[in-house]
Amino acid sequence: MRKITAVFVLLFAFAHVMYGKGAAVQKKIVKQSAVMQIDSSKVMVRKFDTAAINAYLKQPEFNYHETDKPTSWWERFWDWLWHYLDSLFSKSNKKTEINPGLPIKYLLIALLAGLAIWLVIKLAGIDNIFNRRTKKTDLLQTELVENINDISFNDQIEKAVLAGNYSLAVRFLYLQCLKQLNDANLIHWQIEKTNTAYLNELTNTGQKQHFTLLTRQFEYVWYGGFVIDKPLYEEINTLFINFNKTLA
Amino acid sequence: MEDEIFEQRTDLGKLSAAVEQIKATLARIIVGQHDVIELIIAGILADGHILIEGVPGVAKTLTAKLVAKAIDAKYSRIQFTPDLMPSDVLGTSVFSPKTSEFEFRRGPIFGNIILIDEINRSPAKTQSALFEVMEERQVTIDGQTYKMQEPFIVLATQNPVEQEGTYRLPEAQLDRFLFKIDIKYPTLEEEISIITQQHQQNPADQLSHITPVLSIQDIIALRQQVKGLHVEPKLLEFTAKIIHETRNNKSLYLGGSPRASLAIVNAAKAIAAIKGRDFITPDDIILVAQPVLRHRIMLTPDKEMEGVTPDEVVTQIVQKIEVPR
Repeated sequence: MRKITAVFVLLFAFAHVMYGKGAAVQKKIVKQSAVMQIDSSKVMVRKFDTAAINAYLKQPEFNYHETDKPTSWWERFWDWLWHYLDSLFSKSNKKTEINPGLPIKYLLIALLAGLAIWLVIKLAGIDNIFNRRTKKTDLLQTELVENINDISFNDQIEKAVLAGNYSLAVRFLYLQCLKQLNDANLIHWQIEKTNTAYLNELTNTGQKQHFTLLTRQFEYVWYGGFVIDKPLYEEINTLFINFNKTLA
Repeated sequence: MEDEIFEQRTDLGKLSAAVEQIKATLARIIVGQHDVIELIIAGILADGHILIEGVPGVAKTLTAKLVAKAIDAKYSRIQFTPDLMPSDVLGTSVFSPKTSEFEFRRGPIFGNIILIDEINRSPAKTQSALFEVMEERQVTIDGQTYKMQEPFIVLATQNPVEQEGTYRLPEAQLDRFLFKIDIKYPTLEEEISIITQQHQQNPADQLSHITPVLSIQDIIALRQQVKGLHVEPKLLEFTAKIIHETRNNKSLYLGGSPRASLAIVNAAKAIAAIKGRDFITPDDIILVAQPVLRHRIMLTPDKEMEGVTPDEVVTQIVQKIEVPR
């Protein structure tokens, strides 16, 4: 109990001292505010220069009144279109209570939605998820200069031989051979396959050996740039004829 | 039969014999890896540098050492470490108190066959030192240019970049390698054969018994032969189409360079010569497309995340292009 009393006494003494200091500061402030100066200088009143304002007002840049410009035919067309569409969507046939513009409205919305989806797919670069298969077909149709199914081999070989272009004749002989193998389901013709790929597809050893020989002749002529004359062509042609007989 | 109809324009007999000799020499120690050995020989014949990649322990260094041993030429080995400096590779000028002048001390790069082991363990600063010498076959130091002696072949080995302590090589340097050859694990039969053959004998001891098969002059002459092989314009176009496609492919953000086009043609010529032909075919081009392009092309990050490999992309690209026929 004595301790608590001592604490209260100390707090009271501390508060008394602090109050005394605060009162002293207040007295000083009162003394300072007594010195106050009054501004007695003359005030010059400035006015706007009316002549300058009038000069500005005469300039066209400061003329803010808008005048209706003559509209161009393009603007008039869009005005007409938007008014027309607005009338379609807002008017309704009072007799049937069916809005005649409603199907057009939905069609336009569907078209806009489709366009937005197409743009998103294009921009994201994921268009090939839909047309991966189609691209392959396109490649076959556009890049293949000659489709072996469309070539009239006998005519082409005859033309090449008559022109003395025996290398070209050997090429057609080889392509004809590939077509026959494809027709007989012994190979699966595709533009990106190499001759070795076709060789590996053949399962019959005899046919494989014979076709290897033909492939070599074709490669020497077509990739090797070997120039051949008529007797050499006849020799190669015989090899192809013999092979074709085995397929028949 | 074709010999009866067509006569070869170039006599490739010596080349075929040399290739067979090298293959036989290497087969005495290396089990399997026939395709790898053939590609290394093709790379040497095509005047290219070769990067061999594989996990530790698949005989990358041994294969490179054997190839170097099979050729009678000046051989140096540089072990690439993280603290290796360009001057440690190229050489440096040293002050000679005798002459009171700076003298150039040639580095280990001055040789014919340079084996750079673990090339991707050194940072890009050291790799940059190889740019000039690999492409231009010369070194310029202190304003002085030193020409390399022909043939100059860099055979480098590296671990895959996923391995600890490796750096990715700069694209400019990768483009200077003709081939990047991946060495895979041996098959079960090959593994058994390796253990049977080597459990009592150290391959290093076997190396000392290897005698050179080719001289420097042989290599130069064979390279000249390979360079002169016939290439039809339609096959050049086929090659260009492949490279062009790598630049437009959505799976790639870096395609092949014109140097890659040349590399494919030169490598295809070497393969054709090894097969005994003096002209190239689309098969030769397709065969070399993967080792020539796999280190030159760079996948987009999303394809890399999907686990697509450069080889898969190259295959897809090749399959898109019509074979000239």
